[in-house]
Amino acid sequence: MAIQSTAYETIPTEVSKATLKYRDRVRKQSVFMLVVGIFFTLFTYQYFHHGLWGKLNNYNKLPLIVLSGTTVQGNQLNLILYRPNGPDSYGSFVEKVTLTVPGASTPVETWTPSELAKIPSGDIHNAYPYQVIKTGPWGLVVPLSAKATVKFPLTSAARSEIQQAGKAEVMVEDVSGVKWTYTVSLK
Amino acid sequence: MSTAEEYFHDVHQGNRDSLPPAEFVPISYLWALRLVLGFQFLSAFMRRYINVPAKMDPTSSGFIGHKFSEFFPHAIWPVKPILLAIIQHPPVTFAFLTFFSFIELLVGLFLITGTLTKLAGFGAALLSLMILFGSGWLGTSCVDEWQIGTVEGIAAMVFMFAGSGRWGVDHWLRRFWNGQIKLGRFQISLL
Repeated sequence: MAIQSTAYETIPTEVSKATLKYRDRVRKQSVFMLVVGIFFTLFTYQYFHHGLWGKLNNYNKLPLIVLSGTTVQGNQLNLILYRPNGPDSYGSFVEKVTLTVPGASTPVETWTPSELAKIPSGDIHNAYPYQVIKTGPWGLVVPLSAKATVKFPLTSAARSEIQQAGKAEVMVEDVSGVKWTYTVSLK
Repeated sequence: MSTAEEYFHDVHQGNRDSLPPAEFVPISYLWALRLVLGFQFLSAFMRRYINVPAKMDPTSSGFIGHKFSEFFPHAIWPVKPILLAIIQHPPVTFAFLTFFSFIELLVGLFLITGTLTKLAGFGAALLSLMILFGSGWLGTSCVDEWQIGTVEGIAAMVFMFAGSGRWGVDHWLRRFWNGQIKLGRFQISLL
């Protein structure tokens, strides 16, 4: 203790302005990193994966096809397919599309895998140039993030049934058996 | 262990035996992290220009434009509108991808060699946060991209403030230039 006390006596009690400025900068930068780091980590964790509250999810796991905006216009079904979820490495495969009206036991229109595979490319209007919906040997291949309007001609019988009902429900089935439905508005 | 005042005083007095207090840690502890972090960016460039050139070929299915497109559905502002602008126009996709890749090359080389380390750290933090906000929702089995983006982002910020220490080109550069520039009312240190 005696040795240390002599050292203490020579220490200036006033801290220089440069030292104070340096410490202030270190403190500000450290707190900045702390706040920014905690914010982007927790915010993105909740936003992407619902990891803090709600049920933990992974948008990249199971395919989801959203049909919003699909319309029937005259004798044509404008089917909008948008796939925001699912694996990026492998496509989703649409192998069945049906159109039903309320109260009817059987669909007024059904498109089978071989019919879907024969859709002319001119009837598939992709929204984005890279991730595109295409026909495959057994239906439509829908990669992650692809969005397209696919035009289907309706028979006159189907058209009149839909006109009478005033609305119709479109169903899209993935090869895994997962189905997505949407109530179509008439135009 | 001494207090900060004692340590500074000892160093000032020319006492080379003095040990720094606990809150002062040698920057050499960060060298390995700087190498690993820099190589993440350098290797991203290498994968596109050396390993798999198809990643830079707009006609290929491996083109990175497809990845940009995949990021879009759950990306966060401001990356989402940027992605939309990029993926709708193929020439813009290619130009942006080339620009982005060369920034990654520079950031990677600068971090590894300790050149303008604080500036490189800033670039690395921006790249990491862009990757996080764009693709943070991807990862089929784990939360892969979220982990990459957050860890790289905060590691980059450490170098943005800490710099390179003795090991790096900055150590030599400091003989000629203190690396300070003035941007408006901000005094910014590049190395």
